[in-house]
Amino acid sequence: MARLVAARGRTIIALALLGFVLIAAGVIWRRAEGVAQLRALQALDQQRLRLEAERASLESDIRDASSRAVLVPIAESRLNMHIPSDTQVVIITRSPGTP
Amino acid sequence: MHRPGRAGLIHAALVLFALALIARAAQVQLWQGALWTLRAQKQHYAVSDIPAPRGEILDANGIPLAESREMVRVSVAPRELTNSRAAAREMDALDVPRSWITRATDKSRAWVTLPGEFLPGAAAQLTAMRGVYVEPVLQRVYTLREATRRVVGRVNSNGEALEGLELVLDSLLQGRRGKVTRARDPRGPRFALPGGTDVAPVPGDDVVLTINQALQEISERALEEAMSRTGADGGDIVIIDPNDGEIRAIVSKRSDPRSSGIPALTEPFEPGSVMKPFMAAALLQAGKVRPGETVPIDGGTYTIEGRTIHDAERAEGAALSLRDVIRYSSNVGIVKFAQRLTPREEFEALRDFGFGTPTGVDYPAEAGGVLRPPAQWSRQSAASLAMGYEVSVTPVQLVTAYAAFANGGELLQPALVKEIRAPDGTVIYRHTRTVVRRVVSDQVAHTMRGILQGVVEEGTGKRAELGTYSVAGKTGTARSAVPGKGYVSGRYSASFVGLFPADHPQYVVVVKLENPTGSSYYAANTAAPIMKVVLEAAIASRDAALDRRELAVSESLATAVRGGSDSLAVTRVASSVAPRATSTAEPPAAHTSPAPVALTSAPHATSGTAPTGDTARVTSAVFTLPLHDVPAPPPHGARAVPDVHGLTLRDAVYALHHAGFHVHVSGFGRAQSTSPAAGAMLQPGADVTLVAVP
Repeated sequence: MARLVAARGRTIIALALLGFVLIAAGVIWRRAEGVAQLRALQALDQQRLRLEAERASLESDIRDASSRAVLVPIAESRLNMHIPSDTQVVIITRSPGTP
Repeated sequence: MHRPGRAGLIHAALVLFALALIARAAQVQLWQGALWTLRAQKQHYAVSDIPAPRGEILDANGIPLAESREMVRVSVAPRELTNSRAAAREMDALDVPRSWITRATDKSRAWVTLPGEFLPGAAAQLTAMRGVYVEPVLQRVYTLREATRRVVGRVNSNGEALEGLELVLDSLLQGRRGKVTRARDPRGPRFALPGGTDVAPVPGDDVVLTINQALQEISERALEEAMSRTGADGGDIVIIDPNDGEIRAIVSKRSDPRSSGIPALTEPFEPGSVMKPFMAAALLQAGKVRPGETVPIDGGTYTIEGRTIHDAERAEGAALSLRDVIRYSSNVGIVKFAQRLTPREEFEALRDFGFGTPTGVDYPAEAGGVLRPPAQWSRQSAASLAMGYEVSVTPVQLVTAYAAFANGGELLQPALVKEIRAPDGTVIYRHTRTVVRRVVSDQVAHTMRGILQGVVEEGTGKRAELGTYSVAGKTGTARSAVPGKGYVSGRYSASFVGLFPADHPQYVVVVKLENPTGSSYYAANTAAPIMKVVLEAAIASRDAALDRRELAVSESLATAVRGGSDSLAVTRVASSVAPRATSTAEPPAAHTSPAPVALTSAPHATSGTAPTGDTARVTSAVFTLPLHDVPAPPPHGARAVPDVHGLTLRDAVYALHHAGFHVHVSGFGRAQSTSPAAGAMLQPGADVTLVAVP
């Protein structure tokens, strides 16, 4: 009888220890997973910032490249174009409602 | 008596030890809990500032002139580097100086911050390495053009405003810094905690200027070419919308590299003959002269108070009317006419036009110029002032004063800031037309426009004349004084102030050159042609803040007047044709705005409308479509961006096009918002970005 009680006690302790280990492992896994997710999130965030900065930079480059200051000299020198005089410009107006 | 055995002692010791542990735990947890929690938080977490994006500065069409770009500042902990050679290679690819690479890979150093800021993408390989740390920084990026940068100003590397509009509007642009709590990682990087107690940064407000970037670039190029052609030391071009006082372009260039700010606002000059129209306007306003009234010009030489005044060009005839005095810029004529005004009247007339006091434009520095009260005048001052000497003005003062002739006699406060928007798009400030005072009557302003038109058509401003549109203006060539030396031979300022188109001006332009040294320094040959170059480029540009609908009306009026009424059948003649056609007569009872005209023979080719003397000009063909049922255009071109929220993309694009804007579509689906926001007042032809969401 006493031996049975002792075995039962050891089983309870073993189960308790196992439960503790499992819970601790779960907690550690959750934290590790959380940190990994955080790292991934951080990496994505940095990638977003990188891409946004790159987009802003490219947009700025496009604006500069398509500005009059850049295009007009090129059009004049390479394409032999010129700014028309006012007599060469035709303004066609249309009334509202015209498709 | 039972004596405790050895086991009992051990048990007691263990119990005591356990009690001590519990007591210490209680002390740590209960009494010192807050202290240890704080210490743990310091070790595990770090609170850092997040820089607030500085607000953008945009031109009137929404083109960014100054914007903040996120860059990274890179620091290296050399002892933590696992692959110093690879790190050195990456730093080399980023153009980090060799000496800094050596320093950053020197294991005897604990921490090295690399000089400069890098695009996050470019530095990605380096920043992914262990031992490399990044700090986000916001870099201010400006438009490439120097003239615009002078207006916008700049900030230093710490984001502190130094000059220009960046300085004036700093409190609005800078925003509020945020805070973020980051978890420390033993491997180096820090992570922002999701759902942490961060304070989000509040971006600065966006500022929309009245400047039109296309017009600014046109003006800058024209000025550069003119300076190179005439050998001038510097020059200014200012263009203002006379109907609302908004400055469309302001360009200043100086050969002196130390020059900063906007000299067009800060450097007054003696303007010379461009001041004569103000004397004429004062005389007309006081009823002391009629435009056709004449004075003898004594062969172009006149002595007054011991000083002999000469005319640069001798006009034909013994007498000149007021109109011709302005047209041929006769010094003798204007001095004789000005004698009809008392010194007090002369002073008050110039003061009322805004001379001698800053205009109040939104800029950190502005000169008021010099206009001395009559008590400080010499006996010759009245004559000098009539010719534009003994008074100094800035180009901005000059253009603002001429705008009064263009808008019917009201002096407006010039503006550089059109709108200020909160980060959520709410408009917190919008420029409204501010009348400082009425300086002349509508009738006098109208007469002055007619007189100034004569200057361009037949007088000294002929080289500013356009083939299709009427231009009014006045030239001015004045000797330049050097501090301590007085007037120095060979130093002149040449200026031209023009109104375009003359019948209903959309631009008032001032062009000024300092010390042109070419074959002719006269404004008629140096400054006036620049006006023409600017106007031609503006007409050819689709986004130069011109109301083309109204311009077409002006074109028709000019064509009708030049072609003669016999050659065209005008079905609905604008009332303003009459004053223009009778510009040599007395002014009409009241000025009325031009109304659309329709030509029965449209399209009508107006061959040979080019001015005489420009035989190389291509024969023009001006097409004007019927405008029978078109309501008269608004007094000035600005119109509201329509609210298209919720419309289909097609309907939204149609509505915006219909309102006269150029549309850029971002996304697809239903219209969500526009930039500028609905309700913003824009010139026709302005770019509007339509944001659509699925």
